Amino acid sequence: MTPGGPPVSRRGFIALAGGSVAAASFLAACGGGETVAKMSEFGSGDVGILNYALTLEHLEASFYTALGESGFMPVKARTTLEKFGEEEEEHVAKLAEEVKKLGGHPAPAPETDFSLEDEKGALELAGTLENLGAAAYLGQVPRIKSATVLGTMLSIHSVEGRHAAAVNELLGKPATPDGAFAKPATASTVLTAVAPYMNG
Amino acid sequence: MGEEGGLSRGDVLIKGAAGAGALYGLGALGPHVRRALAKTESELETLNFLLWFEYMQATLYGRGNSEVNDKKEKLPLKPDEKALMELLLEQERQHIGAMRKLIEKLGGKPKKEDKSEFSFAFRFNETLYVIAEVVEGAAIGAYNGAIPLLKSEEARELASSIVQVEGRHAAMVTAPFHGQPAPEAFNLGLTQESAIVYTVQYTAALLKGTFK
Repeated sequence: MTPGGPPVSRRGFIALAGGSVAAASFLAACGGGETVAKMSEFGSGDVGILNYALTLEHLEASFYTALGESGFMPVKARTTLEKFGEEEEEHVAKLAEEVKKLGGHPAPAPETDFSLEDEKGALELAGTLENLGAAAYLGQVPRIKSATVLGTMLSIHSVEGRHAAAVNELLGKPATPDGAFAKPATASTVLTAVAPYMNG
Repeated sequence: MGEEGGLSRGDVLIKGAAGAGALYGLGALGPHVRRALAKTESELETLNFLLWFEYMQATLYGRGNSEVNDKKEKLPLKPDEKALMELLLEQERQHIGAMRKLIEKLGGKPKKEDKSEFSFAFRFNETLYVIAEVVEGAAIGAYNGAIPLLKSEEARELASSIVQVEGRHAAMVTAPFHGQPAPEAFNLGLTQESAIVYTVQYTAALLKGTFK
């Protein structure tokens, strides 16, 4: 699933995904729960932002693989969720390609553990990951320098919004939980939320 | 991953809608729209274009909410469909308000709303959703194409916030007839011309006037 590298641990993921500038902040935050402010520095530069997004896409793709293997795939939504998984894989490939174009090294896939126990919990987690993903992309828009990178990120962002809305509807939750205007999430918020699904 | 990303299901379904008399075609493009498409847009013109798309969406959902089809026949919506139309209409109206406010703040003059610019022809509930799916897809393309061109940080942030919600709307309108909420992995940006042409070609949006 990851071009050019073996899976990495949670600590490794945090270090790799952030790029060199922010890596220390992420490690510190992970170990001690500090430095939310520093975590906002995550991914300085477009390569860092792309790798942050790539890491989240790896996570989502890994989740859908785990869901498919778990036996907890909701029957009524199997086709839709399987397609979402395929699309996350496409996002992974595209973002890795963009990182390489900018001379960077694509972030490897993190080791993941979703501990799926039932269908409802699995769907809830899908909702969490998709809504976080959409908010994560939105949070990076103001920081992107390259119009090409911005175009790529936007082309994925609205698809993550589609995924999130569809899963929310499956859960019986509002498809537009923030109302008419989607709210962004900082990298620190997102990474703190997904940390439990990383091994190591 | 073509420029038409996100519109493929509508492309297919509209063939059925065309049989109900919904497809008006490219001839619907008015002379003002054609002229406007021929020149480079400024930041404020770009924002007014996005505002115009919001007017289009609000008009569509207002039509759906009226529960009357293009033959002036009652088009009854189920309670959940009615709630969906009301929600979509309300959120598009909020987008209109925010976009107008931003244009004024940046020193521009918001384009006036003229509902007569749009004429959506649908006889059946499913056609309404097909049109909505394509209009939402085109709106997403329009936003994704416009945002990288915007210089104002505030404009970028507002447009990006809205486009995610348009993506959510696009998924929501597929639900009543169990469509695919995300038919493509990428929703690429569209030029203004492409966004308009798609809307007209695939939804019977009859553009009578101008978005200037």
